[in-house]
This record gives sequence, C-alpha cells and structure tokens, in this order.
Amino acid sequence: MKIDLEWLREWCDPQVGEQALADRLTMAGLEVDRISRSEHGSAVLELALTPNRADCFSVRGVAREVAALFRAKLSARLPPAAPAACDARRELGLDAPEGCPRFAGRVIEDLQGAAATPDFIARRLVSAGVRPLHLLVDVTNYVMLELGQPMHAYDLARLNGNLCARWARQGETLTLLDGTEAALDSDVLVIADEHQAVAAAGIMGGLSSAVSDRTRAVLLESAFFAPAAVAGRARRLGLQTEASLRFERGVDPTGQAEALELATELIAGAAGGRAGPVVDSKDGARLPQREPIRLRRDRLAALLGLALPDTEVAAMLRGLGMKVRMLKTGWRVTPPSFRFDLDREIDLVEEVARVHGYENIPETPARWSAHPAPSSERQVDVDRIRALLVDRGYCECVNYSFLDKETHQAFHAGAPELELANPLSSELSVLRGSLWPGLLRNWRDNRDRGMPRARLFEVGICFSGQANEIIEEKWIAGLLSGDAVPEQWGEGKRRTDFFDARSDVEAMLCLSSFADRFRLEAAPHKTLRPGRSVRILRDAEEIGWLGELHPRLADGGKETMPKVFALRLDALRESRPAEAVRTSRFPSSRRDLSLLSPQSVPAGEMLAAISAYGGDLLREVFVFDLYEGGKNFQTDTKSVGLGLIFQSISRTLTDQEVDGAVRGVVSLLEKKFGISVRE
Amino acid sequence: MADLSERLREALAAVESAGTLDELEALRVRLLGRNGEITAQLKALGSLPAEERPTVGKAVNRAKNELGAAIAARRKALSKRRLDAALSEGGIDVSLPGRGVLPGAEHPLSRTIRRVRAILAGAGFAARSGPEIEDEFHNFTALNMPANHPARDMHDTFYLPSGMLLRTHTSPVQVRSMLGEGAPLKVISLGRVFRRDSDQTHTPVFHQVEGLAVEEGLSLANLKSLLHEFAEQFFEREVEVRFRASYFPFTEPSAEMDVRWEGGGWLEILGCGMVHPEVLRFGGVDPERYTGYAFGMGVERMAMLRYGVRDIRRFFDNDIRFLGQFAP
Repeated sequence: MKIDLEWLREWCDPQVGEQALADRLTMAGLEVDRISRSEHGSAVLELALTPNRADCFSVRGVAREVAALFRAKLSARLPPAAPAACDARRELGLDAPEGCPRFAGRVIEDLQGAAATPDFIARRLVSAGVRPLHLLVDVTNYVMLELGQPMHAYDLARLNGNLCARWARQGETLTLLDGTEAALDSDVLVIADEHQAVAAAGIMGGLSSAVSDRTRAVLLESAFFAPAAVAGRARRLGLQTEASLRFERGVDPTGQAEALELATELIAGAAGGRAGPVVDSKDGARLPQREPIRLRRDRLAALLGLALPDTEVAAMLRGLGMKVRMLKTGWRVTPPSFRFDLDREIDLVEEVARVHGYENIPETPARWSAHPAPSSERQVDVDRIRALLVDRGYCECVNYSFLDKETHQAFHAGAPELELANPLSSELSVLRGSLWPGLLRNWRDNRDRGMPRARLFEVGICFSGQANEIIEEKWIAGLLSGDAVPEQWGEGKRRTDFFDARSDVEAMLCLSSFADRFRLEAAPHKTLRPGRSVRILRDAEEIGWLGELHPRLADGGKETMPKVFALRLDALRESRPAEAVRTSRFPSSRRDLSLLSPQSVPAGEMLAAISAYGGDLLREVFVFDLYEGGKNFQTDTKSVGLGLIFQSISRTLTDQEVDGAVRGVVSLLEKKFGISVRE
Repeated sequence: MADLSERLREALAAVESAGTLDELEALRVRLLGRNGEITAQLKALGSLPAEERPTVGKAVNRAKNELGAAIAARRKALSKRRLDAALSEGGIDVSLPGRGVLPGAEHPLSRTIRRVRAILAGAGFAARSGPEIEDEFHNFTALNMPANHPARDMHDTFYLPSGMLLRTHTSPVQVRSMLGEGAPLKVISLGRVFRRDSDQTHTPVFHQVEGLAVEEGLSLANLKSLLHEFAEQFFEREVEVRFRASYFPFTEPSAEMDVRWEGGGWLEILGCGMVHPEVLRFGGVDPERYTGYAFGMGVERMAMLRYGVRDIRRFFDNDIRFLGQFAP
C-alpha cells in the first residue's frame, strides 16, 4: 500500500518529519518498507500491511492510525450530501443479503464521458501505483484510495433495468473488464441487471457495461460485501484486485454513502452532469455489528507484564475510535465499525500494547521452575552421529525433499510415485523416497567442479507408501567416491572400496550400545551392484543398506560408481547405559592360523562359527591377512590368516589348553567348511 | 708427596683428553683398577712409618676421589657427545603434513539448529519434532487460520492429491505438543518446512525453529527478556534489539524482533508473540489459567547473518568448497 504523504497530511498532520512518522508507524505494526518519491516529487510511504489491518487500506485509514499514535487531530474532509438534481434512479436489490447486506448507488446523467481526469487525481493515483485510465474509473479508484471503499461505475445505457446482488447461477459466465471469460460457481456473488450478471461482486466489473468516452450517464455502485462472500473467490478466478483485497479483509459497512458523495463531487467537478437521489438498500440485521468487549485490568497487566494507569488505557482506546466505559474491573469497549480485527479481549490487549509502544514494555526474566537439560543414554544424539561422520571426513549435504519422476523411477522402479498436486516444476514434483539420488547429484556436481573425491552424507525424511497413506521415515545416508584418502605423500594411492564404506557404517553402529544386535548380510538390492550389496539388520528387522550403486545409474556408463549406505535413524539411535564387565588380570595367549579356504566360504561365517565354538576362553578372533587369486593358488581357493586370542577371567591358561582349543577350531573348520591349515 | 700431586695433575690431564669412552675406561683401569697406580699407593700405605700414614693416606684418598669424579664427569660428557652424534643422523622432514584424513564439515544449517537448540535448552526448552506432511487442521485451523483466512495467502502451500499438505511452518508440532503433553509446557519444534516459492531470496524448502512456552503468568515482558538474551547468546555479543508490532494469526499481541546491525540499520530476526487464546484452546489448554508465548525463526536467515552468507541458495548447492568452510 502506497500512501502519498501530502495526501495523508491533509487528513492528519502530526507535525513530525517523514522518517519519524514512518518509524512510529513501523513500530505500531504498519511497517513502512521504504519512503520513496513519486513522479511529481511527493514523499510516498510504502506500507507492508498485515492482513488483519483492512482498515488501513486507505489514506483515511492510515490517518486514523497516525492520529491515535501521535494523539493528533483527524480532519474530516468529506463533502456534504449533494441534493438530487434529477429523478433518475435504479433500484438496487438485495437478493443475497448474507453476501451483500448493503447496496448503495446513484445515477449521474448528462455528463461528459470524455472529460479529462483532473491533475491532482491523476497525480495521486500515480503516487499510489494506480494507472489513470478514464475519468469515471479514476474517480472510483481515487475514492477507494482515500476512503477505503471500493466502487464501480456502470455505463447506464448498457444496463438492462434495475440491479441486484445475487449468487451466480449454475453455469453462468461473465466476460470481465480485462477480457477474461469467467465461469462462475454458485458461491460467487454477482451484480446482475434484469438480463445477466454485469460484475463479479467486489472483484471486477463486466466488460458489457464498462464506461467509455461515449458514456453519458453512469450508475455508481458503493456496496458492502461480506468478507466471507468474497474471500477466496478472487484467487479462484485468478484475479486479485484492489477491490477484492479490501472486501476480503473487511470494508467499513457505514461508509457507502459518504463514498458516493465524494465521487459525485469529483465527477461533477470534472465532467458536469446531474446526480439522482442516493438509493441505499440495507439489511441492517445482516450488517456487521460491533459488540462491546470487556477488557479486564488484571488480564491486561498480566499479559503485558506491565500495569498502566486506567485513564491512559482509556485514552489510547478512544484515540483508536473506540467507545470506552469504565468498569470496576476494567473497561467496556466497543470497537469502531471499520475495525474487523477486534472482537476479543486479547485484540484490545494488542491495541494497548501497540499504542503504548512495545519498546516501552519492560524486559522481565520469567521465574522458571528449574529444568535440568536431559542427557539420555537411551538414545544416541543425532549430532553425535553427524560428528562421527564429519570426523571421518564427510561433508553434510541438505537437498530438497522433491525430485523429478525419472530419477525417482531409476531408484524406485515399480514403487508408487508420491506426486505433489501443485509442484513448482516437473524437476521438483515427486517426494523423495531415498537420500541417494540427492547425494549422487551432489557428488556429480562436485566432481564437475573439480573435486572427484567425496565423502557426503545427509540426514532427512524420506517418503514411501501409497498416496493416501504416506509413511515418513528419517534416514541417514552417505556416499563415498574417489581416492580412499586424499592424495598425499605417506599413503599409497587406492580407490575407495566397499570396505571403506563398511568401516564407516560399522563405526556408526558402534555408537549404540546395542551394537551386537546389528548384523550385515549379503543381499540383493535393486539400486546396488549385485554381489556388492549388504542388508543391515537389527535383530530380524531390516534397517538399512550398504553397497556400490548399480552401474545402470551411471551417467554415460563410464563412471566408477560410488559406494553408498543408508540407515533408518531411529534404529541407529536406540541405546542403553553400558554394563561394565570385569576384565581379566591374567595373561592372554595368541595363536595364528594360516588357512586355505574354498573361495566361496564367507569370512563372516568362518568368524561366527569360531566365536560360537570358542566359548569363554576365546576372547577374540580376527582376520589379519587375506590373499586371493595369486598364481600359487587355484582360483577357487583363498588364503586366510586368522588371529585367535585366548584368555580366562580366573586363571592363567596352560599351553596345552590353548593348543587343544586351537585343534578344536581347526577340526571345526575342516568339517564345516573344508578349510585346511596351510603347510 | 710432591710426587703424588704431580701424578694427579698428569692423570687429570689424561682424563680430560680421553677422546672415547673406551679410552676413558682403559685409563680408569690403569689408575683406579685393582692393579691401578692409585690403588697400589693405597696398598703401599702399610709400609710407611706410622706417623706418616694418616697424612699420606688422606692425600692418596683425596686424589682417588678427585680422579673418580673427573672420570665420571668425563664419561657423562663423552656419552652425551656419542648420543648427539648418533641423533644427528636420524632427522626427518617435519615440515611434511601429517598422514590420513582431516575432518569434513557439518552443514551450516545443522550447525545453526544445533546452536539454537543448545541455547534454548539452557532456558529449559525441550526439542520436539513432527511430520512434514500435515493436515489442514494442524497446519492452519488449529493455528487460528480457518479456511479462506487471508493469512493463508502468506503461505503458498504445496498440496498432495489426497488433500494433505507439506507443512508451511513448524507450528503444527506445537499444536501436537499441547494436545499430547498439556500445560505447563516448554518446547521447541525444529525442522524442514515448505512453501511454493522459489527466487533469489526464497527456496521451496527451508528450516524453522519455533519455541512455545505455556505456563501460568507468562507475559510479553518475559518474552522480550528471553529473546533479547537469546539474540546475545546466538551472536555472542551485546546486541540492541527492538520489538515491533506485527500480525500472526496464532499469536496476539504479535511482534517481530529486529537486531541493530553494522551500519545502524535494523534487521528482522524472528517473529513472536503471546499465544492466541484460541490456539491454546485448540491445544486443549485453558487460556484463562495459562498464558504462553511463542517465537519462530528461519534457520537459513540466522545462518546467513551469523556466517555472512549472501545467497540463500548456497545452502542447497552442496558445494564442498562452501561446506568445507564450516569445519567443526
């Protein structure tokens, strides 16, 4: 909303500079974005009005605010009612009084439709950002900007008989002023003559009755349309107009006649003509009534944290145009007709706070009951998981929650797409089902910027299920690519492989003290390369995946595919306080086994079998060496070096005991897997 | 006697000039060993007349001690010289960088959320989260925005075909907290929100942190105090703030908090206000007994101000060169 300062000062001049005026308005909730200059040099306040302040969509409305904030005088500059100079009139019917409880109008005959718009009107329209078009239209816009009452001018010759305000009929259409053909639903209010709809009420007039240079007689409309009868319709028709903006939020239901008088005077001044009587159809019971509101002194003080003198409160409220009566416990307040945002006690509390100034309310620390910050060991902090990955060299990414259909299909072949009803673009039309597509794109972008080595992760919600039953789950996913370590002098150059990824996943799993409930098992996954993918389980529940992205997803087929992982965050986070176990103070014995194993035996199964067999005395077993496919081996054989560490909690083990246990392990491996000890 | 002191001088000179530990050891054996010269003189004491024995004995012993100390000192010096010589060989180029991997970086938005959460945890606020897909009730109606409410225009909303929507703010979490936990309550809700808007200063996905306190006797003065303190902790300096009246459907009175920035201008930081009684009622809380305040801020904006990021879209580029600047 742009307000010409000179125009505003005609209504109320608080005798302060423009910056001081703008600052005070801003502090009171009428935010002045900036002060600009109009073409003719006048200062213009550019207000960002909040939707509750319909009453400030006019010079008079802002002037009222200025008067209240500065306790300055408001000058009434309305013309007196002009007596009818002719009998011409049209009846104005209230056929939908719930939507239009007041419909006022007046005919003006014998005017010069081609008369020029007076300079001061044109200038002020331009200041307000409204383009001057035609005298009759300009006058209605001027009145709207000055008083906040939207009006419409019909070419009388192009109307058929009397007008009424009614709901649109099923299938009714209307060609609007801007040429669009609007199909009207039956909840759209229209102004109709005896043949057809001639305007979308409170939104825009129709083309058929538009005024032009040839207009000799005009019917001015000045109505009150109920906010609920206009709200949403303009948006549905794709037409937000100055009129609909005001009617949606609320126009003063008492201002119709004075707007007519002002318009009459302005038209007469520029185009002559003889005005007929004002026709003012009203359904008083359906016009908004302002009920008195009780404002309790205690409540006001409690909410603001500040007690104000009674007389000051009353003066502030009266300054805003309210009727105020003192009560024993506070005030009985009746808001003015132009305020649509005041119907509860809390609304008055806000008014008092605004006028008193938020800057004059003290800063008082609350007396809280003490709340020690919780520090739970039942859940791993997400920030701890983040920190782990960051410390292992990862950068955290944040991607949008939507992607294009094609990418979604590539990652979730066959799964239903969860599409937005109103996406911004087709690239952002489907809810993500996985964090991998985003990370893959991030990796490619960074590679194209010259950084092929990547350790990326993201934490975020992914969506699955059916359109009517969408499942949201929080995931953490990562992507690894490029060199295993950044190129440097002290480490051999090696490409990141599956086991680098696995190591990072295992580190994350270790953050939970339920680590021994997690299991990684070879399993196929549609977007992971066969033979290089692992399902992550907690007990029997699948909680994530680890592997190498399927080469099918390669861009141009030449990429070395990154390694990726994804885990359900909740499963990762569950934990418990550690339970300390006594450690042995007796020495341990290590035995190494050098084994020849069939290629097909997974090391994991070997280790699991040994652990299960080893019992209490076997403290640890691990692979310390692995050799596959050398020329001294048959291709279906591998050499595995195992380290076994034995220790008892209660005594020193003898060599015989340890040797016996090792023999047991060897014979177990032979029987179960066909593994032999290397000579 | 003159002979002994002459001998001692010679011996001390020999010790001083011993070039290696082996040479020094040979000298020690020759002088102080079982068959050494000094030892021999001590042995010879018995053959002296009784009246000379104490004087000569004392002199010989002194010479022995003096020699012993000189040899020990020389040995120490020679040992050090040998170690120094040995160590002068094994030097490495310590100017080379260390091996391995340096840390990556937490996303600046995560970092900002973590800081905001920590500051507010210090004031007793517990973190809550909620679904990103919401219904009209929790996103709008319960926040005092009935259908056709003009405030809904401020929220360009993404809808799903089912009529559900992507939450336009994290306030629905507050409604859920009130309904689920009741009063008194001190929670923050944080996370991703969505608006159908994309240009230089808007991204369709962004993040919010919102706080809600519901207790008996909370006032606007309490809210001002908390948020001023919050701003000073967040920016780690004294800041001048101002609260200006504003409008949100879910709070009343409502305010925006601005911070005075370099150059003297005011920068909007967050929106806040006293929880609207209707919202308390929707949350199952008696507004006559309890009052509450709420505040909400855009994480991207806070991060831009804190770290001097000029373009909001940088947060979603995921450029390692950008992210790397926020190393832990």
